[in-house]
Amino acid sequence: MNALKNKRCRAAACLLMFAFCFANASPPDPDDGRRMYRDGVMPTGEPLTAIVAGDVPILGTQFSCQSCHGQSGMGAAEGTYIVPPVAGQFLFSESPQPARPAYDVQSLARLLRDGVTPGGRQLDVVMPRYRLDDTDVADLAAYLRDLSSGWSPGVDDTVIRFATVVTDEVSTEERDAVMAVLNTFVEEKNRQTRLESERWDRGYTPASRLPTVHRDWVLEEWQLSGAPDTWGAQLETHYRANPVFAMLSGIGDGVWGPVSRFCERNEIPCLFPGVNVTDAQPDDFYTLYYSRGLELEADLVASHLREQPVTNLVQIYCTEASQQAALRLQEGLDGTQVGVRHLRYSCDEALLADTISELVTSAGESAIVLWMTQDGVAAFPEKISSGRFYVSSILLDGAFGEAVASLPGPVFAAHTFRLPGQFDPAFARFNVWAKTREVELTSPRRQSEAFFACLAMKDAIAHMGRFFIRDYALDTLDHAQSIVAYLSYYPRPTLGPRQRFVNKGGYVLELVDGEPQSQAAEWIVP
Amino acid sequence: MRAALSITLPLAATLILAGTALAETASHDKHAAHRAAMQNTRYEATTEHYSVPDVQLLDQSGTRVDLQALLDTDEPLALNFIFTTCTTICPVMTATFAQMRRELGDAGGDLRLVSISIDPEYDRPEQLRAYAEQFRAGAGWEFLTGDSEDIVRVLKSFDSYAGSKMNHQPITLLKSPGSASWTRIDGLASGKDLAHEVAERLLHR
Repeated sequence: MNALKNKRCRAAACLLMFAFCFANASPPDPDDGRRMYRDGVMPTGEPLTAIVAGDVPILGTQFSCQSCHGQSGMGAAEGTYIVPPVAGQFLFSESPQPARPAYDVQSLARLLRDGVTPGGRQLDVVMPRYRLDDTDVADLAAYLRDLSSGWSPGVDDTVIRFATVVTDEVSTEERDAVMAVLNTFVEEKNRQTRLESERWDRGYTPASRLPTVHRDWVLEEWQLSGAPDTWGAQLETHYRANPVFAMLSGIGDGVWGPVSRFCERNEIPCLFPGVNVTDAQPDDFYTLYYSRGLELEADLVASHLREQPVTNLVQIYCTEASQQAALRLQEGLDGTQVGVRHLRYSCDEALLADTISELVTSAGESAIVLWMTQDGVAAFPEKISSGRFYVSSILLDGAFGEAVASLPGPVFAAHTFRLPGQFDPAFARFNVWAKTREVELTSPRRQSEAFFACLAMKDAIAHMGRFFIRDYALDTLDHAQSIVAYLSYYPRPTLGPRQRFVNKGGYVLELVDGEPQSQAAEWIVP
Repeated sequence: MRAALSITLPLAATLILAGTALAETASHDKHAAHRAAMQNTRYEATTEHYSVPDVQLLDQSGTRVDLQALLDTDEPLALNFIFTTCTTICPVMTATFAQMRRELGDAGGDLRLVSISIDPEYDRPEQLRAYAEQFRAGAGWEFLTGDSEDIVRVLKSFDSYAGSKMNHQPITLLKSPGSASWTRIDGLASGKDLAHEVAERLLHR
């Protein structure tokens, strides 16, 4: 409390002897400013208070600076509202349009309290008028001064660097197929902009004499091998040798946690890895995914079982990723009467009928979830029957086929993609792109996903202009709803501020003799 | 629509930021800016006829709601369109709804509030519940989501469909008990303005 009081006295003194303060007083605290900016919370822990729309009182926890101006402070636009950039390089320098002199701490205080710029312009009522004292404003100014102040790593005057992570459980064929898409896209992009670096100083207008915003893309492949708990160190080694601006796409069939932790730790945008499970944490910022993968499938099965319960549920799987899905499903059935059992077997060994029978043979209706690939389902012991089977469309790669048809009981597939037989305009477009570039589509879904990752990256970079700032790249994607039209496979993709999964729902498809009953399928967002 | 640099944006859009230029005064009048902001609140009210589509939506508790039945109420009603991750105008609209209710006081006791999410894929009942709590919405205020195709039908029927949710406009719709027509308010009205419109048009005071 005393410290706080001193700080306030100091601020009052600063106003009296502004010039002396820079030399004498202990500096304002940018960390306090950061909490105000990001969370809308004062150093005391209380939310900021403000007035919006003329007379509406609000709290900083409902409206932090970041919620409109972005984590980068580079601004945004929504509808007809334009949110100007507030990062130091803009705020503390003169602006030609709309015209105003550079801010200082006093004029910033006036803006925040009364909504009046140093140019005398009254801001729209959508900008909250905050109740802040001089110390708070000084803290906020200290944070803004360095916010997005320089380029992020991985960019220089000629190139921007990316890496694609490939884990060692991915087959060589799939790896080659995805890398062919990525490398083709990068080569073509570089070919298209190869003259841009020479063009810039040839014009007569000041704008045409600015250095080019175009950079050659340089893509490296980072292969991870061995146990996942060693991946973090492998990634750090790669990153030290080649600090990339962002991670582009990525392929993994198993766990992805170490990669997403690496991205959060180093604050690197990781755009759209093709993975089956995400390991995403609620406050993660840096990785954007297509969907929650197998865990979304687990939620779809859980919602189906909640509507049509069984007495016993047996989940059978042989991988870490499938186990993660099985645990998620069990969680989703908490509070129901469904008894859940797990059977994890070794992927290299045959699944024994007796082992399963022991788990299935008890009174009441039963269901079996096969968290397995085509081969696993094909090897499933014939004599095991069940009231119901659930299969994973992701693990079966969308092909239900004979193996599924021969399961002895009704089969339901958790399906997070477009319904079989439904026209997919984005894939049709991608297919033409691949054909005309002689890229063979052997893993069409993963390849189309990699293509979308490139488009998203290109879109984000185009919007950054000459401000190569990682958080800005991600902030622009918050508002990039229009690019999802280019995403294949997923029927209802959406992006939005702080949303990290493009696809949020799916179907529980009934399969009759292996034929999906698309007509009756209902879209579920669990 | 996004902006990397506001300089490149059309003039029409940048004008929205601009209000009445205030003369810089030597002595700081604490309320001048506030008064200007109040006067600066611009909105337009028109009378419209809409036909509500036959759709089933979900409220914040996950209960199915028949929209036609909900809106065909003998209580005065205010409706808006929001989404929970919207950064610019939705939090303002939601806070303004709450303020409008406070302004009305006892007179607004029967006023029903309905906020329909235009991002139904993300805004599930769970998100809507958290959002309602964040804005201390309280009883008599329903937050609705549903199937995205149904939501598009609702938006189109109220002439409020802007394609992408990122082009979404501030619109408030008011309806008197038993009336077939709606008062449509385009723009960000203040809590006082909305309360005034409600009192005058819905509560006839």
